[in-house]
Amino acid sequence: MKERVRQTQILPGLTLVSMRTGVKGIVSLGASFLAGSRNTPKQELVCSVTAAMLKEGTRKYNKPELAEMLDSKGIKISFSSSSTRTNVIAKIPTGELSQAIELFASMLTEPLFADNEFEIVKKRSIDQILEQKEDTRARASNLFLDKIYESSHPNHEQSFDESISEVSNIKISALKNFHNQLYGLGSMIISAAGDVDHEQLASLIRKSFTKTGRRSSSYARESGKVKRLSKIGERNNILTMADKANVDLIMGHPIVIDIHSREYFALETAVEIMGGNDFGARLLRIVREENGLTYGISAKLGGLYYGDSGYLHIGGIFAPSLWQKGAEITTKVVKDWASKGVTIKELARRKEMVRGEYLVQLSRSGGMEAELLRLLEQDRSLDFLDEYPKLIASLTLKEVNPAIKKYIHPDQLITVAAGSIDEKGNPLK
Amino acid sequence: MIWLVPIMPKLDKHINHKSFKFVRELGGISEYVHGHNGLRVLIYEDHSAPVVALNVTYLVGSRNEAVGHTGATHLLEHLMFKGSKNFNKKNGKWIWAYIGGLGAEINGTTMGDRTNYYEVLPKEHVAKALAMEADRMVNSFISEEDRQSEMTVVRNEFEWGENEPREALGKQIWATIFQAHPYGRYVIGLKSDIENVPIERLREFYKTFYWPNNAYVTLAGDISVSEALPLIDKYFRKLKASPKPIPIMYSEEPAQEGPRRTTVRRAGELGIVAVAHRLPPALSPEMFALDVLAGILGRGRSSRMYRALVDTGLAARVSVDNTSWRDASVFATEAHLSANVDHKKIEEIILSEYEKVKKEGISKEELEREKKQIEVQLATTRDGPEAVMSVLNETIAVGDWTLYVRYQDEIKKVTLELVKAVANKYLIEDLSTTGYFIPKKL
Repeated sequence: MKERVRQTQILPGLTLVSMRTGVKGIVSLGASFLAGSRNTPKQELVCSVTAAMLKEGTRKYNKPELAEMLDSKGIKISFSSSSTRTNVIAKIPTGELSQAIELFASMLTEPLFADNEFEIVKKRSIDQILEQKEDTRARASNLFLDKIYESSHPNHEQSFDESISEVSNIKISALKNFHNQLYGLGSMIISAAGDVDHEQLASLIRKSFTKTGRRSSSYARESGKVKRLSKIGERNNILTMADKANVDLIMGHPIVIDIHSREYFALETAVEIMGGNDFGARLLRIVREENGLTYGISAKLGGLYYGDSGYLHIGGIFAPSLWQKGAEITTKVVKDWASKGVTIKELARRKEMVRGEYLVQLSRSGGMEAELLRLLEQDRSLDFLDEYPKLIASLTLKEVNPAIKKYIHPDQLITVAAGSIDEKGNPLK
Repeated sequence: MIWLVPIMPKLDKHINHKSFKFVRELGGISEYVHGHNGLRVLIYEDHSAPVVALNVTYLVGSRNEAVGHTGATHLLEHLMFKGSKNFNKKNGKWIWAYIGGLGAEINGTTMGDRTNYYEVLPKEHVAKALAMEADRMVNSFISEEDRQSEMTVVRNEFEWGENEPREALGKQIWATIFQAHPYGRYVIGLKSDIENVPIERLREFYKTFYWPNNAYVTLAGDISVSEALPLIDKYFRKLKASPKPIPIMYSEEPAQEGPRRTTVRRAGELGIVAVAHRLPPALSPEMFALDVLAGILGRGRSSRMYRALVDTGLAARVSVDNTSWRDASVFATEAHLSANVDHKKIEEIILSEYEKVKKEGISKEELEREKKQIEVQLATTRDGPEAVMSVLNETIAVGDWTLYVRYQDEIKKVTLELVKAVANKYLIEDLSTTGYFIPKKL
């Protein structure tokens, strides 16, 4: 597969990776660079508000002009940010690539940051936080991260009320500073898949970004700590919300592992066998199929960047009257998995699945573009496209089960349930 | 490994097979019908990746339900994964685990007009998926034991949806628009029906609608017509056509003779205003102009509703959708209000935007812009086997899969006058249903 991928360093600090697929007339494009909430630890949302301002006009095109140009050419582009990076996702008609790249560069490098638009974006950002505040999953996730990390840890999330307060008080100068310091070349990766000619795209990008300045290409390592909880009570947390027919349950604990290590893939494989989105996986089979307790439950490793601490995350949904039983059975599944490990049959099945899943995922341009971007963000070689299924196929039980023993600690699971339940976990009347 | 080479579909059309009758070929899609049992087959070749998408569409949806068994189509869809004569837990071939274990994306979905089951998987496994789909078409267990364990799962799916203010309001709006037609009940059904529908009703439903002559098998991806037809024949030819005609759903919604309103009050943070209008069925020739109108009003940041509501800080987001189904469609603008914004004010702005189109029409630039956006959207529906399969599934459901191929040309024919005419014909007060979600502060 690697032979079909082209990679070019177009400018210092700007790499393009692309692959032509079978689709006609459309290109999936993604991009990212290091500019996330880790860079402003005391202002978690500066990065996301900055990203939200990019489509509100540039020094070359005001907001209506920009909107009209994008829409009339059928160009879809959106910006977002995470704890480490600012991200771009776009769908572009092949015939409009020239215009699209020019607009993309303009939005990224010369945003207008107009005061009147800033006030509307702030309002919209607060609305989005308010919507999260009424969402059981978002509430449970927010409290879970608060319970496992100190506030100085990059994976920690402030409360929704703190977020509203931060956005209300944010100054446009903070956005401009963030932009000046972090938006530019240095760590920028652009990936593309679809009906795309690599050389043509490289030429367009070079032309549009040639005057863009260099920025830092290093990431902000974590400085915060994982919380050490001593009391059992602190491990079980309930968020009472009114008028919710469903309870969101999250269980997990922090994990520190290097994502470039073979051990990481052993652990990831073990977690998939326990909680993958697959009925052969233990959680779906036991909690849903055998006990009929949930519509959905899964486990994953999350928040892992550059060797910093991430977490084991188990998420499920339950009726208010059944969530406690669900939590109990889920805990049993995790304990059994952690103590006895996975079986040779489960490992063999997972290996077969990975091969098929990988082919299916990469049969879409969007899936291919996302995978290419992910590889480069994680400093992996393109060889990894072909090596990944082989790496998983080479894992042995002697690697997978010790990884579980080393990294999973059922006695340290932290539980958060959010929904219409009282402080004892009973359904609200 | 050599793959993802951009190979255009090399059409292996007019392949003769003793069991199949060739019906037509359009846009690279070949249609056949099985001479023995009436099973219809669509095949689309795309050899870019060694992946095939298999979909079985049954022409049964929530429109075929009645009082007491709302949600039965969907509950039955869940039971279809529990096991069949040759694919079950006892023989180690439980559908979810067996096909899922091949690395397939596997699922089923239910909507108003259809139920579908699909697998997207490496090409070498397509025969296994076909064998399973043929078996469960007529040999599914549909047992009381499975109903009992799956009922709570489906009820939890219902509860999950109920958590969303948008879904809670949507249910009320559709129930207000369709007071007689089954579209008035959401696909998930009533909670009490999910809990109590007897297994006999589900079995009856299965025995009535799950027949080859009420289904389409679609194969898209790295498989040729000459490979596909013998495989489909191998697994499906033993199935008989239904002994009785598939029942016709004949209920018609009476004409709406005045504006309707509905309100949902629940704990929450932000309000929602939705203004909906009932429209003709999906295959009405006017739907193309209505699709264009929906885009001009609501697609992208240059759309009229975005500029009027989001750019002004009155709404967090807005969408305009034309949901086209077999028996009727619904044109709806849905605005999620900013904090402390009055519902009435938003409703008035939505209606005033409608009035502007009705009086002044749209501009040539707007029309061209929306046609371009639809063209791009259609291009994405050819991006991989799953995308092709998904759109074919929906066009089969509304009664004519060729809509998928014809759509672009039909959109090109839409004129300024047509858009203005449909706005004046359908976006009128007497056909409207307006819904408010009002957040209750506790």
